Amino acid sequence: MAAAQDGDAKAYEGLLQELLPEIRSLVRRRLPDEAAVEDVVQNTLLAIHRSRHTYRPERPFGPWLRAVTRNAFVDHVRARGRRSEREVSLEAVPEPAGEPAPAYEGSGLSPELERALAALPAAQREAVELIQLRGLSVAEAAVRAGVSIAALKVRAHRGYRALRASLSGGGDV
Amino acid sequence: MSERTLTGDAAARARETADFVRELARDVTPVERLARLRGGVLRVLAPWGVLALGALALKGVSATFADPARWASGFGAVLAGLSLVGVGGVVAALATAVPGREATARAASALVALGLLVSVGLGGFLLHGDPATASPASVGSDLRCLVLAFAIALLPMAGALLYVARAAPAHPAVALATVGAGCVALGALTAQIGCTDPAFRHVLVSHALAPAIGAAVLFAPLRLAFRRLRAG
Repeated sequence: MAAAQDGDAKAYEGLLQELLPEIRSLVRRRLPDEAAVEDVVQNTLLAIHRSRHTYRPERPFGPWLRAVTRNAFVDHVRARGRRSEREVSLEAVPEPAGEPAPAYEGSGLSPELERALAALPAAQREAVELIQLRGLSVAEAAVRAGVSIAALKVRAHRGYRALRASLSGGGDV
Repeated sequence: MSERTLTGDAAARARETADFVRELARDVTPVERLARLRGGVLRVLAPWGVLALGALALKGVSATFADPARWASGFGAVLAGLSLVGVGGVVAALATAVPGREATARAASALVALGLLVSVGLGGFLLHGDPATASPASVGSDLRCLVLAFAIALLPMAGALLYVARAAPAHPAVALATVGAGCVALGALTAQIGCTDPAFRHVLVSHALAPAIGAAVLFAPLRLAFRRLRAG
């Protein structure tokens, strides 16, 4: 992990591959729904990626990994709860007339955020819109975008990073 | 759905995860490690220490605490409780934000609970029958001490907030409420040592209950600042 924190992609890939069985086993212990396990595993990998700076090499790695996995699982449960609250029957949804407007138009976003969204590459913008603005699950968004879940997550992750950089006046986060 | 289809689906999802790992590895860039928890706590407590010493140099120690016998009274209980809430709150807030430090966060949260029990419960109980607290309370004095407590809390609060925002809090709301309570407790503690108003209501509201007031009042601004820091 220390090498990954220094930007060593090969060491990082090796570490994540090595961690996969343990993460899967941790997730399976908490999640009876086998179909959702891989979703949570991918969310955990993304959480490790985002919070890798919080790991201190002088501390044991196991508790850090278990905490990140637990947090990703809790996020998954919260997101599932939010989605089920938002779900409406298909009959209640009117048929769209013509090309749908971008999700951010008239959504109450600040003009800066709308501009930053509009400036994103199309694939990243679509991923951010589908997940954050239209409230789809990652799996639903992947189907809608016609890409794999992994690809959609990476697009969304890059999109968030670009948005943060753009809104903070440039530079990577 | 047949077992074979399920196995096929699982294999496809596993391949997807393997692709995801490669994508993440391709995306990796060097990161600056988050400061050690101990260092983070020191960076919050050190500015408070300097501010507290400065405030006491200006205001001096109140007559209540100039007499060592008074330290064993309800005033002392409030002071001891605030110390526990202050230090425990800062450690709990920072530890909550670091994955793998849950045990530290739990221990520090227990200190916060104990501190509240000592300052509000025991302190309130002892002060209630203490003739030294019989003087009439004044709203002006109540507000002065609360404002001083909040003012002293600002600098350590900024340090704690920066740490929490850079870390990965699983429950940001809990971390932010604890930041507010802990830092205001440190401010209230400093204000109390120099406080000249021994009225029961004053000590209870402006000192013992200040951390709870701080957590409630400062939660919204702290959340706003936290979101801005995370976005930037």
